[in-house]
Amino acid sequence: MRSETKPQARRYWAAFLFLLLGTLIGGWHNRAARLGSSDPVVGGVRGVLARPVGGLHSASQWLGTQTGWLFRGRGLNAENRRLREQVAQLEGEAAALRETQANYQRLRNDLGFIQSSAPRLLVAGIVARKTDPKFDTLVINRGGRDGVKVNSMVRTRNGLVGRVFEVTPGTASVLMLTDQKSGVGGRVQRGSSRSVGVCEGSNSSRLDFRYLPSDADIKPGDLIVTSGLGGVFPPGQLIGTVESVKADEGNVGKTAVVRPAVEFDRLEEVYVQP
Amino acid sequence: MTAPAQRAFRLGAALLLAALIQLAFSDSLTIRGARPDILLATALLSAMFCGANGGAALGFTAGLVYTCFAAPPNGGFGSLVFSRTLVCLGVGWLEERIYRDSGLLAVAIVTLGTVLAEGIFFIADPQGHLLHWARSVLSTTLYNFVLAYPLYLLLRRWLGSLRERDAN
Repeated sequence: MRSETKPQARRYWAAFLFLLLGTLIGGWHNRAARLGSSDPVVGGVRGVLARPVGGLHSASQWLGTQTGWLFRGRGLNAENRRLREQVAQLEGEAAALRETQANYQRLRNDLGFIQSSAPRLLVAGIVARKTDPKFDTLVINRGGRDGVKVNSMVRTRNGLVGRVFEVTPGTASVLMLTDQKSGVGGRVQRGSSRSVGVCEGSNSSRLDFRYLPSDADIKPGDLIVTSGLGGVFPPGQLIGTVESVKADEGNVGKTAVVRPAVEFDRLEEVYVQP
Repeated sequence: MTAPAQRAFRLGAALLLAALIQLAFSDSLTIRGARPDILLATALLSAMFCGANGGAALGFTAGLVYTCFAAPPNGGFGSLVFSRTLVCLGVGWLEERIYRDSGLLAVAIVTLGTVLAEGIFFIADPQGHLLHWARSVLSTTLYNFVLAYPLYLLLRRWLGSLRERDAN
């Protein structure tokens, strides 16, 4: 019996070594993530593969853009018409906003505020997006070498994408707002209402705006921006638009469903604020 | 180059190609939220041709590459690598006992292997939203089920005469 068991164990030593190695690397990675330091294994693997993967990913997106009309043909005219109407409406809003900004700037100057410089933003390409459908994460082609840090804010022109949770020298991992482990302090952006809550992801295309008081003044169409209360995101970053509001069980509070401002399925490049 | 070395080289190349396709194109291959796991399917199929130790090596490599780009937040890194290594080890071990060069077996191995790998991952790193996890596992398993046979034929062709050793 003993003579049979020993050779069996010897025979599979390499297999057990790989299992042990997987566990050890996992533990090491989690420890590095907790300390906010870079994991050399992830850095090494991404260092080798990030360029070809990023190149191929961009090529596939470009091809999708070029040939998309073949599959979307019928809906294209309607979409064009809708977009033209939207552009006209937005141009009007932009003009009003420019006017407001000019007034604001003038009043600011009159009051003698010191002009603060605009934050530096890095443009980053997407290397991989939601590789595993269980996690709403991105890998971008900017990392520690570019000044990206854990908790750096990531956004697009349209709004907030999420925050960096892991950095290697050349890449960074981004937790998107829609991931179930994401939570961002939010605020209603309306003059008469400044209700504050937390926007949580649920791995779907919508966010849950929770922990609102039962008397919160919030309605469909309201814009939700970051509150700046958690210290990770600066205040005023657009998160999304309220779609519906419902009272929590027992009427102890309210929860709103928010449509994110960013189309996470169509991300091509993002801005990182180091 | 010896036959085992040639086979290891070809399986490694197949895995690298699968990794590039998985990481770069899985986004474009998404159908109604369902994504294939071509890398896991290729690792499982490759493990059918190389025994327990080789299977574990393939599973470990596939798991490590996949996990580095899947970027699981707050833990789960080791669980993903471990689950893939263990399942491919199992397939390799089966190869030494009940191996048949059969397309049907290949489809069964990829389908069950995908469910098992995700099940082991869930046990090691329980997910908060059970329904979301179940939905994503089901859709990936279905996708892999469809891809298993064509992948098996491609791999068989790629290995060519090197499979003869297994037949003897």
